[in-house]
Amino acid sequence: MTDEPLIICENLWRVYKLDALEIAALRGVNLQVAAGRFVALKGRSGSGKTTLLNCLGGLDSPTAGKVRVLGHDLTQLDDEHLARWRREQIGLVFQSFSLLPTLSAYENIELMLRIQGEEKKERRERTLACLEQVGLRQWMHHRPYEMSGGQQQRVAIARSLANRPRLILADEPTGELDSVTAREILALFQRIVHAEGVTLLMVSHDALVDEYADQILHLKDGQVM
Amino acid sequence: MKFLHRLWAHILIAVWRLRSQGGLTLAASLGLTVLLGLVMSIPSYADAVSYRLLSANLAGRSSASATAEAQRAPFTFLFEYTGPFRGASQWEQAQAVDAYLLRQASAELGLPQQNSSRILISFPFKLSILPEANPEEEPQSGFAWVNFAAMNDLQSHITLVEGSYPEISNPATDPFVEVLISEKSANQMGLSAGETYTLYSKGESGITLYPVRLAGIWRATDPKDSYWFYSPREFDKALLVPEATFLEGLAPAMLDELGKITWRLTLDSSNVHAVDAIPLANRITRVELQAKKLFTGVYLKESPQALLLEYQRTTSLLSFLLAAFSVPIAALFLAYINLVSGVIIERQRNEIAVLRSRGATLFQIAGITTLEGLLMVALALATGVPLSLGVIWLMGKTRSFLDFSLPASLRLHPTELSLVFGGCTAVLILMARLALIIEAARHTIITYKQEQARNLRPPWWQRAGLDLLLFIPAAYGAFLLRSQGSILPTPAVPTATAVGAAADAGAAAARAAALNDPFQNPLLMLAPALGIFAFTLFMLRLLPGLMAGISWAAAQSKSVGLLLAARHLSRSPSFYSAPLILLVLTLSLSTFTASLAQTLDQHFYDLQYYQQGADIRLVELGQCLKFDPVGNCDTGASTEEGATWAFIPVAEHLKAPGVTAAARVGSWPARASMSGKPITGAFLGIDRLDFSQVAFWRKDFAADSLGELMNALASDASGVLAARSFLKQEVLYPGDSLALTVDIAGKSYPIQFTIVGSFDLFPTWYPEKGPLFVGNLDYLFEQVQGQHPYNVWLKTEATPCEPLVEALTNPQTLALNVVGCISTRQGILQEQKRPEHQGVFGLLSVGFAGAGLLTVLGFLLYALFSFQRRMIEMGVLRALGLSSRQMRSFLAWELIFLIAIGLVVGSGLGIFVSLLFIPYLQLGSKASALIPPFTVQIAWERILQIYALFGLLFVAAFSGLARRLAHLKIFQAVKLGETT
Repeated sequence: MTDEPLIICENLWRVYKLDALEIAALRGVNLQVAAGRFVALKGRSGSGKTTLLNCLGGLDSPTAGKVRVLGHDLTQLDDEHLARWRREQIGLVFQSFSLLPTLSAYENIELMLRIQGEEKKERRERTLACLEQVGLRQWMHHRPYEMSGGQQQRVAIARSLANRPRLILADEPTGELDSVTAREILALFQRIVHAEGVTLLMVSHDALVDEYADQILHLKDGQVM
Repeated sequence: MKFLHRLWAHILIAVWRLRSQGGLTLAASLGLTVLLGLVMSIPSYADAVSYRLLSANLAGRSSASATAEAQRAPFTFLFEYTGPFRGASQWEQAQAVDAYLLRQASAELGLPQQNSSRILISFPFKLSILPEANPEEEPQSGFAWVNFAAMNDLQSHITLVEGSYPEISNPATDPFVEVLISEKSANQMGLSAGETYTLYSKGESGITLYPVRLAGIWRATDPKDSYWFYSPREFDKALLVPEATFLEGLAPAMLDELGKITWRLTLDSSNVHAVDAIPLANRITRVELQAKKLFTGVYLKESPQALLLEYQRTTSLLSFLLAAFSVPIAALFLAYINLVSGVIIERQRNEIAVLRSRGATLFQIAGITTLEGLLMVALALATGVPLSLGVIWLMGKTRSFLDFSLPASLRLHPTELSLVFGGCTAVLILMARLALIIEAARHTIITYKQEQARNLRPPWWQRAGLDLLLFIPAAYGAFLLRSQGSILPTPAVPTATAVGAAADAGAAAARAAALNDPFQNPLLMLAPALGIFAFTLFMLRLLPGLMAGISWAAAQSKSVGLLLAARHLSRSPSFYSAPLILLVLTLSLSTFTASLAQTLDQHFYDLQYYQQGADIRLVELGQCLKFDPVGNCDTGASTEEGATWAFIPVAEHLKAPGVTAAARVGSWPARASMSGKPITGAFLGIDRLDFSQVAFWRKDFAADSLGELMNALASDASGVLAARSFLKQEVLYPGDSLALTVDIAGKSYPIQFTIVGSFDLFPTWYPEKGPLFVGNLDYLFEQVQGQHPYNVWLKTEATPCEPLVEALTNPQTLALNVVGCISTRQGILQEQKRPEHQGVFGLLSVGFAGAGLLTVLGFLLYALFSFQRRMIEMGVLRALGLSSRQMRSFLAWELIFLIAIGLVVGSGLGIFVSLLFIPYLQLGSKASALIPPFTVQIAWERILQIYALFGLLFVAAFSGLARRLAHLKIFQAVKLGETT
């Protein structure tokens, strides 16, 4: 293992083109995140937080600059390699949970492992372990619409853990939750980061995050302050 | 003003919304156009077919007219007055009716007048053709009977062979009346233009003399012109004068000038529709009564009235057929409307919920979306009308199912009813849309999210048990059909086993009578469609269980796509019920339609062949050996005197080109005396060796094969086959003796037979005509000591009658005495052109094609519209690491499941319903239309074509969606998921 930061961004630009109009969401972002840290990326709405997260997760391609995550230069990977990279090394958590409504909590998590090609036994054991970790084992057969927002987000977190990621990228994971539930989720994240040694980069504008994050980065007008 | 401003604002918003989703608007409008085009085409088509039927009848009447050489226009009315039998014969008395008929009648009949004409004919006079005749004395010889006659617009329809057109008579300046005489009479009597003659008339007031000058000799310019509704030959004995001469010169001078007046009105019938038949027939009666009232003795000699009434009766059956066969298509249309409305509104639900949350009223939302609907429907109606005409044109070219090879023959005219149908469908679409909008507009964004979650429940109709309830009327309809044996409320259609029971002609008569009101019980018409619909919905109830089983099996493997698709289908039935209903309905209805068409087609063939017996039926006389004193063939010569006829061996027919087999078949009246009671039927004498090679035969005609029956006849020369119903009725068994009296050429021959077999049906035999006995022809001729004229049934290689008869009767070769020839194939070709045949097959063809087209459109619309939901799901899955191969597999499995379920369940259901209901759809007003009974044909070839079509549909939907997914921006899809 080298001491190389887990995330390295150098002069990262992302410009959206809308007909003749060009909107720069990221304006030369330079960023480094070390492994095993709970990092919060904060900023006002429209500051480019989600764009940066998308670029770091290989969900969006930067217009210019370099983005290196977990030793991979994402600008050099095609869609298929990016998908494979994500399913093997990255955990993603979305604001609105993005659970498949037709699948139970167990099945949502197990699907992640199935996509990865794990064997049946390993899938079951890992899924149950993840559910245990987020405290929802007894809810395993419930479908998303039968659970509260906090429970759904816990399932989403358990899903993001299923593939034993080295990096979890979370986009406003407490955005749709009340403060009590948000604290529970943040505490869960903190526990996971410290227990599993996972790196967590969380986009948020929730003030509560400050209490749990190891490092807080501020983004303003597409640049890290 | 404020309202108008608001309305304008709403219209602008509606147009903007439609433009913002141009692709979807276009796709939905296209679907609506196709739907409205098909809906509107059905009534117009039924009307056009009916009109063709009417025109064909009227043309038949006109060509049957002995006197006319010209084809009369369909709506020609001839009013006539013949003086000598009526008393009054003065022109003054006829003027009122003349004005009425020529100026008012067409208005009262309600049809535009194309043209009219009047013929005035005087009483006959003697025309002396002896130049030296004494004008003061009535000629005793050398004369001809002639009339003065005047016709309007004569000059432009004749050609003068000699002389000039007559001047209008003016007794003050010229004592001679100038006349025209026909070329034929002039030649016969040796008359020339310029000569003068005298007409004599001897009445109660003494002799009247009319000096005439032959101004010219005429012939008809075009005897086939419609002007000559009476042939020009009818005027050979007339002296034609200008109308003014007749009315102003001759009429005032004559005592009884009117021998005959004929008024002809030709009216424009291009706007006459089936529904006008009865009112028009009533108006014709009123006009005739009015004419009689104005001038006693006027009567309507020719009019389309009787044919209108006959036509109304015939179209009743046609309308019934078309209506019955339209019901499944209508069911499909409803399913399509449901799907399209559903997917469009589904797409707008989120937007509607947001609008509601921001304070928009229900009325405002309903107003905007209804305006959108109105704009789309208006566009679809405008384009649907020409499309419907195109559909009618295509249907008019129908020869058989999906065979559009006939020349176009139908009137392309949208009827009011078609516009009503189109309007009703449009209203139905708007209402369906409005209902969905109101339902959607009840929600704010919060309640919509809750509702979305509830969408995972079964659809409402399943929760309400509608599918189970639908089984009740469908099962009751099936029970009624089974009980009464036909879709028409009459006694049972004769099945092969029960045909004997239907032998009484009463069944056919009752059926024919029932045609007066074939719509008595609409449930019977709806039963097949209801059955299909009920089964379709019920299948959707079972499907989640099936898919759950598949997903359980898939869960045991490492598959991702298969499992995701199976779980999706097993757990969210509301999402796919609409397209699946459409698929299953289409498949089942298409299978049913195609099988019905194939059954009808096959039955049509069977019907013709059963009626004639073989490819060709020849009536032959042979060579007469005995003659009566007058020189005619003595067919009644007694047997003791030897044979009357000699025949060339039947095998000689094989020498004619195209003939592959020939058999003698003779039919004579026969009586069986059973328990002292004579039963009259017919004896069919056949060549047992050749008969099976030429005769049309179906295995349901008898329990034994035709070969076995022929062998039975071979085993005993005196053997006879009889109808099973007869044997059962008379308690007779094979081996029993049967005494028959056969009547041949006016003589009765008692002959003893032995029963060797039985049948239920036999070619050319209709049970209502009495029992049939089939025996050896040679044995019969032995018993009657001589041969008698018979028919020869031929098997040919599509040889028509004309060249065949020519070859057979050629004195240089065969020199057969053929007096009649009936070609079944030619008959079939002729029958295929009949409007009733075309009507049903045209509708079935277009229904079938329309069903396929609408389903393809509907399914693609569904795939397109539901893409948004799929895109979010796929985006999330891709973000989580789903490979594109896994993604395509998910998509493919979902489409495969939907299409495969649609195909398997749909075609299975279609086959089941076909077998269940088609036997009861055998309709006809005559017993001959019901025998032989239907043998249900499952249209496997068409079903495979549908499979191929749906294979293409899969490829199109899959490749379209896969292409869009390949360009999926994951972060956009995920973001979209955050907002919906």
